[in-house]
Amino acid sequence: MAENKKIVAFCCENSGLLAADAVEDESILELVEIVRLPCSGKIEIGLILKCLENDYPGVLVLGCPVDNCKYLTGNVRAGKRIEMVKMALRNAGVDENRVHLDFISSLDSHKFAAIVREMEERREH
Amino acid sequence: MKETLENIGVFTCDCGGTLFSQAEAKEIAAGIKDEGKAFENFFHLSILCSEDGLEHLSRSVRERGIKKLVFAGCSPVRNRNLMDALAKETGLTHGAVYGINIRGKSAGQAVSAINRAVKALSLIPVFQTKNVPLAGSVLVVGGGIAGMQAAREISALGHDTVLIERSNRMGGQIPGLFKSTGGDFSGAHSGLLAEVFPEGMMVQEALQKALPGVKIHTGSYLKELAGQVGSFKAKVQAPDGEVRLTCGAVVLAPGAGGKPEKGSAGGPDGSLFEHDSIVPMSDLKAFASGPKGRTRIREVGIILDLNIDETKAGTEAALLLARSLQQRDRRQVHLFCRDMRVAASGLEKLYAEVREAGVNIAKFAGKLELAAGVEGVSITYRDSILGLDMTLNCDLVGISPRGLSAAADSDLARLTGVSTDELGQLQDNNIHLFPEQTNRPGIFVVGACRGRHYLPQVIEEAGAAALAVHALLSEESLEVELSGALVDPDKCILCLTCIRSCPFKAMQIDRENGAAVSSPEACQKCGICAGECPARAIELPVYSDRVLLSQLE
Repeated sequence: MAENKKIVAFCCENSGLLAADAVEDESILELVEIVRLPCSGKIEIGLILKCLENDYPGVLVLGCPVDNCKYLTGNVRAGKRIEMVKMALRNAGVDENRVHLDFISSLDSHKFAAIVREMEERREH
Repeated sequence: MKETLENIGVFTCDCGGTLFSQAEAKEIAAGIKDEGKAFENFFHLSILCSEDGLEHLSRSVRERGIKKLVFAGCSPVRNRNLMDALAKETGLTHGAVYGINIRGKSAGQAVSAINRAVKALSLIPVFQTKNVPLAGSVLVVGGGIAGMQAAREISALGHDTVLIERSNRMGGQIPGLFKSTGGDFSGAHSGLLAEVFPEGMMVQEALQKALPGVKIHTGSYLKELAGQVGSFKAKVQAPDGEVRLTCGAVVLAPGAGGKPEKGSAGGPDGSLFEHDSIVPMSDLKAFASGPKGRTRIREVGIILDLNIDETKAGTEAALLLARSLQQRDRRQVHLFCRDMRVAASGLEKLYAEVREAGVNIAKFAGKLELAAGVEGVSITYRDSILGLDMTLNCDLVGISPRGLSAAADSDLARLTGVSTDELGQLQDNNIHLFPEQTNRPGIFVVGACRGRHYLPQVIEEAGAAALAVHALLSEESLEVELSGALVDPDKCILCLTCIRSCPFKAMQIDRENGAAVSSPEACQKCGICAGECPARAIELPVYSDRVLLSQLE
């Protein structure tokens, strides 16, 4: 894990990105690199692994709450893929908590901040 | 794909002075990297969403020959209309317009956001558009009130309409509803009801008059549906042979499934009905006034919201039932619910009348326990108003039918590719679809197939579906941007994963190329197929790996 690299947050543009946009606390925004996705269902396993391979300390995937996905099943699909990534990390002896999926709504800027803060704290330990 | 570094424009909006001032705009301009002339083509404009702002912007786009633009202002997701207007005014495609939100950001943050957007845009190709021809006619499946109302309104909006009904009788649940609501149809306002069902039974002569221009086939059902929005190819089995139709849109209104059977496993909990004193709500009346030996029934319970929240239609039925049971044989009726769903005209009044008649309304929080014994059924619950744990004994308990009303025609979901909710009802349980949309563009649902709904609401929703059809088919063709999922035929291994995972059924097999291909008219550009593809053969050009990775420093 490189010291100078930030957490990568893949955000669905219908929820996570809007929540991130509404965060005013700069100290939170400094901790993450936000990458916009059309839907959390777009996230690819290879992309997550590539981020870890490139020494990013953690990968967050933020999608819409269940039954609220604009594309109906994207968040559920993302959930399955994240489970597979976590399993692969466990098997490889890598901390699976470096990858985290959460479902937040566009108004949940406080949740966005809490999720980022939690991942950052885990990184420090 | 060729990188197009030239001619990217950057437009920041000052939102009437609430975003960045001229001085800050200079700071932003100074920070913009000169990739693709982004620095040269920097404009700080006032109120871009106004007519003047848009005109100013499109003039600049034309003068400078700008091919792609970054729009920095309010959130593009919250202002989709503006993004549409931007694309339309400038003649650029949606893929060439990259909106970013700089509200609440410092000038420094805005600069880095703009630079990232420019970087992403430089990796996004310029897309072509395609015009998909729209067939003018519309197929309505189901001759109940929902289908009839939709057909009537669609036809009135000037589209050729074909209505098919599986049985030989039109009207669906209307005769039954006429009886249970005493003929006022819950106060539903529809000319159709009064014209065609004046006494609750259909008047055949009035039917064609009420549905002018609608071709009606009774005893006919949908056998096959192929194609996508704009040109669905339907095969209909009519009594005198097969009819083939090409239609631009399809409205599904097959109605609800049959009445739940006592002891059926499809109940809220099938095992509940094993006991004689617990019956589906629809059987309650028959049981309460039923055979001898049952006449000593004094305390009757009606339970709503047991597993799933009840609908307005079910609530109305329960209220009517409670009132009629309460008024006879000195019975006491207890109506259990989490919440009384009366948010429709007339229902609040009915609720007041039911309480006046003496029905005990018990609102429970959390779980409600039913224990059946020799002496009837004991109901234990936490009263959410009193805040106390209560136990009530009833001689007979009826359970509301919500959760028992799967779509009548379960084949229809498979046939049309329309997804269902956890109860097998047509239409996903997803707020983005309500009331009439389905996962498939161009296919709409109305009526009881999406759950037991309140009649006035069903009629309104049939109107909504008619308007949605009209909005879709009022143009001659549908202009779509070819920025959807892109399959690399060399990498595709025909594993069908994308076909299974696409929520919109936009993927199909191109037999010529031996690879999957997405239909541009149905693709919603979510990228789920790209995320699922095990061969990594599918890419969403606007969000390709290169674009995504370019966003990381």
